[in-house]
Amino acid sequence: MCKRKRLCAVIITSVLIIIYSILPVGWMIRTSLLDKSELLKSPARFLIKEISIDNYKQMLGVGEANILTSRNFKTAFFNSVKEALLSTLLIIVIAVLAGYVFARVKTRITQILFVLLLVTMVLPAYSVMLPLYRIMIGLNLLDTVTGVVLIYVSAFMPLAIWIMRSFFESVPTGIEESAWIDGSSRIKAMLLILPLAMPGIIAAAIISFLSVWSQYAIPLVFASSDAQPLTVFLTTLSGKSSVNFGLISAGGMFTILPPVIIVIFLNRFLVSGLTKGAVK
Amino acid sequence: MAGILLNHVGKCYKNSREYVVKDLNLEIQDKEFLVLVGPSGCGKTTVLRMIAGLEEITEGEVFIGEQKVNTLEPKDRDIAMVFQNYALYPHLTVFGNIAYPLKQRKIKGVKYSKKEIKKTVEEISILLKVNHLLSRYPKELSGGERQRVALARAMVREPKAFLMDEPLSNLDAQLRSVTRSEILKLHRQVQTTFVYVTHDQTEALTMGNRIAVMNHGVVQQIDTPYEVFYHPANLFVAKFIGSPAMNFFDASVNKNEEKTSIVIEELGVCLEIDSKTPKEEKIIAGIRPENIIVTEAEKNGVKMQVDHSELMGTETILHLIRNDLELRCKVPTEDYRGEKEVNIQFDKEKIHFFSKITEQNLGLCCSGVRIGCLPGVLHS
Repeated sequence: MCKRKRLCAVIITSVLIIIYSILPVGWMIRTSLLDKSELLKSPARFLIKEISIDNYKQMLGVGEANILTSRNFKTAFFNSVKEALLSTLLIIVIAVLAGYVFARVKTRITQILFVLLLVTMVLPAYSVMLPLYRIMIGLNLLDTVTGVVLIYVSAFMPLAIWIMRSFFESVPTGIEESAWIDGSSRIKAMLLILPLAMPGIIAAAIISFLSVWSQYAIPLVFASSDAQPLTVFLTTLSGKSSVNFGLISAGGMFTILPPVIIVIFLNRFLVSGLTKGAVK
Repeated sequence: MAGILLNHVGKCYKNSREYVVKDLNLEIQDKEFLVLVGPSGCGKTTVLRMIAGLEEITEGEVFIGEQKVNTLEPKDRDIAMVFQNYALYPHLTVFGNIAYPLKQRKIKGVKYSKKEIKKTVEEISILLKVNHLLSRYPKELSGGERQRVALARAMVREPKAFLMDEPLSNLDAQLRSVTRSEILKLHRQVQTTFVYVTHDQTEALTMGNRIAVMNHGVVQQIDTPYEVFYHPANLFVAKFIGSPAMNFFDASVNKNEEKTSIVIEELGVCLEIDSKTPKEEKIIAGIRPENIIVTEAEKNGVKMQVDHSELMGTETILHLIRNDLELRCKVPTEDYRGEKEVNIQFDKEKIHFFSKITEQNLGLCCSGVRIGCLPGVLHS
């Protein structure tokens, strides 16, 4: 009986926590499905009677829509995808190579370098904003996909390297040693054990992708028009005189969709990746 | 195929000043089966890893064949190694594991063709009786099967030498003795240099053409198993080789005008020496349990109490005590069951004498044993 009571308590608490964390998302879904005329009705209700997909249509440019909005939306969406995928790819390549070296070559120099790398993680991003801006102007990379990707790589690489290092440390060295003796070079032996570090690679990739995808401050400064991603685009939907909450919510829905899909399908890698980094 | 030469080799890990291997000189002949044996932490695995190139060499030179290999990468040394935990590639099948060394190598710049690889892997897998496992993964194999796959992977190409790091220590006793003789058979077949590391002295005695006994990073004796067992170079080798271990007694040298004798006061035994006289007055005498002759209590000998006995099958190990002195002897099980008191005598040709200071074997020969030669401990 006691067990049952405890189970009930756990279920109720979980449900409360889930409601608490999902409510804002729910409100966004509700708003995105609201008709323009109902938007400003008072008092506002959570459950709505009539569902309208006008906002989504307008975003995607179906039917009677503002062509400019939908075109900007598409550009921003592709910018986001491009920036996130490119940065993730670069981060992973660097993190695998660097993580392997940090895990296997334990000299004083590598240890100092690793600590320096971790120090960059605790620096607030805003403190380097101004010098970065100067550099980007100098390199002519302001408001380009390449520019923001470079910034993202430098910002999220340390965490990915850290995760990869923990993973490589958990792979026994015997396998590589045996590969060396069997005639592989160091890099080939690393490629041989790469499948064993795959959960780590996936975890590092997910974390990097999600971090890049949800960036706002950096693209706001460095990619304000041509290379503008979704997060920044959403803010442009509010004009001087009016704020179209329905449209913003619909755009928000498109923005949270990719991360949600990733987390649902790959969360088991995420858990194993993060705990390995933590427990070591 | 090639011999291996270690010339004044020393190893010292980065963060410590202590040498784990000190001034090691070892010449391993071509096609020889050399066993490195010693207690854990004596540096034997480090020596093997230095030959393989997995460990940097702090001092000295290592040659494989004619070539100095100090700075050569492991892949360029052309050796094969079997690890203690086998180190199979977990995500490759048995076939993939055995084929891996072939895929990495080229002969005169040409890679092995798929056909050649398949043929070679099949041949070696039949030899090691793993041909029915080729499509399985290492985690689906038993310990013995993994061991065979590791051996097959090492033998699939023809390396200059095989290095084995305690390959049998993860197997159960029965499988160990079977695999032991199989490795010997393989050694005869492939006719290549083998360097075999173990802490098990039975393995060392049964397998090696020669044995190198190591302790604290120093080689104590390199010789044939026979010599190591019957003529141990020093106290450590005498203690380490042989099971149960040798019995040791404090003894004093009694110099007389005509004859020198060595007295073991605790037992009241005088040992007559007919070779040179040792310089020291206090020495150590040692005798193996199987060289102690046990007679019935009525007969002449040193009287000992039986503390307890261990049955080993056809033989029994008796633990004998007399005052504070303890010694072990090996007797046929049938002869001394349930005896409380026995008399012992020594096989005079099998007694070893060691210096107390240098611990070296003094090389003395005993020509006669007199029992009860001291007042007070006379045979009663």
